[in-house]
Amino acid sequence: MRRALIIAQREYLSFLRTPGFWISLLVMPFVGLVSGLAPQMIARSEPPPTVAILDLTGLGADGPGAWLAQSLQTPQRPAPSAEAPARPGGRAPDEERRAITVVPAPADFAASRTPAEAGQAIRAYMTANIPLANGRPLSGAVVLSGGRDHLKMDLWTPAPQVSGWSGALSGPLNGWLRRSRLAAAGVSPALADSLDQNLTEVRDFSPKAAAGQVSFADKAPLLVAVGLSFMLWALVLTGAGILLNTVIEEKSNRVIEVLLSSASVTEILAGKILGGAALSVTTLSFWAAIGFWLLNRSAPDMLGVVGAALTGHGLVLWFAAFFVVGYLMYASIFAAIGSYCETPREAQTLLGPVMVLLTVPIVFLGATINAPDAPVLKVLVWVPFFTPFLMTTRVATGAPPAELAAALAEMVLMASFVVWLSGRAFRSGALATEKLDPRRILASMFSRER
Amino acid sequence: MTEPALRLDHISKSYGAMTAVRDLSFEAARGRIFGFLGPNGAGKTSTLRMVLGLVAPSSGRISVLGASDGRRVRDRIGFLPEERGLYRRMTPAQAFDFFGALKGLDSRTARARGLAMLEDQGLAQAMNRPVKSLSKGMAQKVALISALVHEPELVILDEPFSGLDPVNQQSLERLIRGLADRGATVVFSTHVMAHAERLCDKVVLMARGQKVFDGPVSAARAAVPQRLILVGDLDPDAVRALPGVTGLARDASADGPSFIVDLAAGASANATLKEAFVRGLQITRFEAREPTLHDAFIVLTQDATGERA
Repeated sequence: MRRALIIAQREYLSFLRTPGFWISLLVMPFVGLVSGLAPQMIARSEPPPTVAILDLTGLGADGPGAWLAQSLQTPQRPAPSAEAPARPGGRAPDEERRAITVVPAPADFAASRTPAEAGQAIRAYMTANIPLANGRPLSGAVVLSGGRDHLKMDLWTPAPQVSGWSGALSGPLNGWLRRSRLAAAGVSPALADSLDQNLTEVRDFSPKAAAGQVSFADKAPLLVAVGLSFMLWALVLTGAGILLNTVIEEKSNRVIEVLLSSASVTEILAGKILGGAALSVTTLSFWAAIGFWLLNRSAPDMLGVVGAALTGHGLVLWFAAFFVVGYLMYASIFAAIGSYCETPREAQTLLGPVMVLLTVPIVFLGATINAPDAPVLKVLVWVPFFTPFLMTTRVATGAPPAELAAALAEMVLMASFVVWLSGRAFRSGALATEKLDPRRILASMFSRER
Repeated sequence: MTEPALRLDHISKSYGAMTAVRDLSFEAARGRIFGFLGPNGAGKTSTLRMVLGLVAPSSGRISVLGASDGRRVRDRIGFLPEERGLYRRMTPAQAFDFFGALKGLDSRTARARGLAMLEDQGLAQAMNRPVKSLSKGMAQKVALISALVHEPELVILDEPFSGLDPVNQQSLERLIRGLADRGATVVFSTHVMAHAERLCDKVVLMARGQKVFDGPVSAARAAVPQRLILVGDLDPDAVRALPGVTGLARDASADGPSFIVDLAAGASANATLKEAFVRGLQITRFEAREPTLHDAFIVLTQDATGERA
């Protein structure tokens, strides 16, 4: 044990001194920050789109063109009146709608009589990016045709667009249609507008919710569990990756032979895994501190909710247990792989299958938010390689303690087997001078000879 | 009688169908320098790994400092692998600390002993410099000192001279002699015979996993017939007819007519020369050449395996 601790201390301190560790420490908060701010940054970096509207329905001021322009320019809902029909509560996102600026149509576009002519006229503005009279580029053009029975909207943009423009434009138009058709059926505009105001009130209830009715506090445990699972995945990947690199370095500079002449394989592996775990715990603590600080600054009310989510169902304790066992299993696999390699490139071949294993739970993890009790997830949590990452979400959904304990017991058994096997592989790999193929690695792992 | 530091008794080691070491037996006495010689692939590293307990022999018995398994006495053994064996980002001070601690040494003692040995080598200024900034020779010395800070009774060095320039080789030889002077047993493997010739009290020559010789360097040399260099306008058949002569070859390296004459084991060079003069051979210069360990190795290996090693 003394030697294991000495090796663990060296692992910990040596990596604490490397820039790579500090970079990996900061990467996660940085990625989180960028992910949160990216949509705003993109929106701010782009000028508001400009749209020209051409109404060919012949309905004049009461037509859809004027309605749409008014809706886009004035998002606030005015009081409904008989003369000036109230703008509808369109279903397109308000944010998208407010971002669009209506500009006067270019003369040749405005003089068009058919959608085809309008298309020809506006095409030049789209392809050649000709600026408008005010110097701004035209981001899009809307051509409205047909009538109340069959309204058509042609949306022209310089490139095929994938944003919510169509929705932002069709929402007000659908509102106009509904209102016009109801008016033709004798429904007053005021009544038509009120239809949108008193829609169905939906309330979520669940026997698992603390007060019956579901609140955010009831949903928080699952969200926190998914967050923890992602964190666990990142920690396993980072910690085991660090371990892999140290073993590769030791193999290439023959330090591994000196270590083997000074300590047992168990002591070396235990020391390395312990040192890596200490690094992971340091990282986890740092991330937790950053998270606490950000939450405290931006949403202090959420601290209690998150705290309750962590302690409810013993989530944090189960997370710790699955972290320890999961890390132990993957770290020993990575260490064993490293012992066969003198360069990271050599390791890539052997790492391939492990990385596939590590990818599967991440693919399913996102789906657990909407369907935490999906049968496929209930099956996958019993696959030991996925258990650490998926079981935490089962904890949050209130899985029976017996199920959790059984899954943990299975993990412990599997991890013990993997650690034992990795130990044999580590010894064999550490002393191998030739490049071994996977078949020979397997043979050496199960060989009776030391 | 003192128990030898190392005793191998009919050791064999196989990896699948490949036999790395075959029926190897030898002893290394305490306080002596022991050379373990052979070309690459001779089984030297496999044997050293068995001594250290890193791999188990397929058959046979090993006694290391009185223990049947090197792992039981690992704190009394110092090991230097071939060429490297250091963390590149570590300083020598950290290396002495770490490797010393693994052998049960406290930090202060490890650093003090390491610094003293560095000073002996004129490298005290390197104590706090990262290993990656040191020259190969300096790093090799630091690696060796790291293996020695716990003052091991048995020092095992795998190709310690590999890649070193002549100055550093000489310096390392001095260090190894110093170890033996303080009572440690030094076992080192090499495929360069000159080091063993200068340093070793005893050598084991290996080829293809088998021992081909075990004994003092002088005995190894004695096992090789003496050679005579004869210069002059000589008739090769007349030289071959001289008593004790078993072989003859022209010395291509010489400017004039010169022959390398192999003598039979136990044959006297004096008697052969005397007979040559009696027979009137026109010898202008002669030289009796003592066989080197390298010569011995070539001959012994050929004898044992039936082909050149």
